[in-house]
Amino acid sequence: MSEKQEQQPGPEKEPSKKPAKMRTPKVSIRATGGYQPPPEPKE
Amino acid sequence: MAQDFKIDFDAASAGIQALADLFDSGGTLTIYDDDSVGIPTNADDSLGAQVALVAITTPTPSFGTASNGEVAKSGSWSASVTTSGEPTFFRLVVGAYCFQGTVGLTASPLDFDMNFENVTWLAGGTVTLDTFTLNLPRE
Repeated sequence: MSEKQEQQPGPEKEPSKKPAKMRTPKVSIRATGGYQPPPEPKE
Repeated sequence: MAQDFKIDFDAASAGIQALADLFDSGGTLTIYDDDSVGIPTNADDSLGAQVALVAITTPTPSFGTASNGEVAKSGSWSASVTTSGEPTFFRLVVGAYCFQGTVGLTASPLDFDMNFENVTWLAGGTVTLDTFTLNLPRE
């Protein structure tokens, strides 16, 4: 029972609040990438 | 009645595809260190003392086909770092068109428009974009 109470208010409450504020469609971007450091100089 | 404008997925896909198609002939993705002078407020603002760390020439075409309001990059987006620094924003430019977004360290959930596991870049290193997705929500 206590598990149910913890699950319900969490993730569902926030999304239901946001649509109440008026939003117009806006372009967004999501990008991920990697960085490889340069090879260390050999002596 | 409050304003509550929405578009459907087909319209969202058409809109985002039109933006992606600007890069049919490729473009240039430049990632900058704002070097404490700040990130430009708007994508058409002039640059000042910000430092370009890496410039990636994007493939032809640069994006695929939109679906559900999203369109992902196509091909390989990668280049060598030319100047050491910490990336804080990027610009994707073709002709007079410019997209600008923030760059930072990967977190969960992702905090920035472009996210990297390492943001201490040294000249000679290699930067590769794994994903680059434009989105126009239907809401």
